[in-house]
Amino acid sequence: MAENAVLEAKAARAYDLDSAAGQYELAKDVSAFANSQGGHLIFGLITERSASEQVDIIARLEPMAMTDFPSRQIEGLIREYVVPTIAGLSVQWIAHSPPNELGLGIVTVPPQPDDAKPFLTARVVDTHVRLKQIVFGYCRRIGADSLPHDVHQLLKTMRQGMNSTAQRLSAIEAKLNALLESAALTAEVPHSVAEANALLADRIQRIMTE
Amino acid sequence: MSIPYYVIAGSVAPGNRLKGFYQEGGLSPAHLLDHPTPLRYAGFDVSTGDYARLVGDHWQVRNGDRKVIQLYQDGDLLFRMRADEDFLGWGGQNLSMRGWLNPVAVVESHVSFVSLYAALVPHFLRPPDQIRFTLRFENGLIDGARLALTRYYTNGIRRVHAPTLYPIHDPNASAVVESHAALLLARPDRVAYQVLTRFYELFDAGPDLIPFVVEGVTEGTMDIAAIAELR
Repeated sequence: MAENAVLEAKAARAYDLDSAAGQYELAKDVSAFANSQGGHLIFGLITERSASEQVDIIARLEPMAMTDFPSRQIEGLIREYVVPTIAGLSVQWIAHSPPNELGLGIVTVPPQPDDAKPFLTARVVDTHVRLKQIVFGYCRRIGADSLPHDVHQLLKTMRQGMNSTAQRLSAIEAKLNALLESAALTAEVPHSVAEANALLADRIQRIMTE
Repeated sequence: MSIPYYVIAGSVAPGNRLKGFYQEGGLSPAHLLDHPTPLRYAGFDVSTGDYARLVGDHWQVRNGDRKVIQLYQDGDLLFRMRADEDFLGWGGQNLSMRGWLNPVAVVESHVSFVSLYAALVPHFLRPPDQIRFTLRFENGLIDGARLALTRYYTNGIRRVHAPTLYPIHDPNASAVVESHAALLLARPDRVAYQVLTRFYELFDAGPDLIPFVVEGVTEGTMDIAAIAELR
């Protein structure tokens, strides 16, 4: 079975819950589910990359003791670092097999109403010099990946809102701007093969640095 | 640490342009970027899960840093991929396999791109005669070693002892393939084979190394059905 839009497989101690980086990774993955169609984060699974598909496949179970799955800490971190609160969030350890000493940890994110979105990740960075910086991000689940928006995408989303009308207006504005730019660049349209090749080479060079 | 990238671009002769370039949805060129026809689930193809956005003078979709696709009004279509274990070298995160390109990823990404450009051709104001595919690597190195192709092994390369490697002859290698637009429309599987032959030449590898080729035909043809059935 492969990871997909609603399933992320993790080893028992996939996140370093005592580090800011580990806490952020957990919040990122959970918020990505909340911003999409919900999903399950399952601890105690080992994955391998498929050679023929762009997915990680679940290779084997590696169940853990209940004491090795800090469900309360995980739930607390999610509630602290994912804003707003995810409705119906569940964090539990499930016994795998008799004598019920080992099991899997499961974080379940139910599908969230559109009105509650976006779910942002908030992180407090303590630099130990009485300076705290609050940073936040937005992540979406696309296929089997939790992808964060970069700061430009996030700023655009926040300014536009998630409203479909606002997005259409923004799209119309972008087209108008593009048309104006196109009109201004009319004189620069290549007329020869050499000019066209040079323009393509320039575009290739620019996309390399995107 | 520099990341190796690879770009394949499709283009036509200057002076042409795409109809309805600024439209969205339905029959627009931008819609092709949103919803490219997939060969299979989780394939190494041009799908990004993204919605096309106008960025300056072009449409763009992207899947993080893994894939970026740009479409210009004059018909230039660019597909940039990471050439490391994040895409073209998928499955090569083991240290001993770093820098090895995944033959499935290589083949499927080219087949998918050629098919996408074929779908774009009817959108031109004037039917193009020729299509040019430009292939370009940048920084084709990982840990100082050149990216390399290997043969495709049905049971996976991990079980193969000391597979033969075909290193890229230039970390910034490039090539051009010209194709008749009529052939692209009628037989994208053959054009994909031509493009892949040129790609393999960048690694001094012959077309006999290309997997998923239809057997028993004189004209080199990619076996699209075999790729679609991969699991």
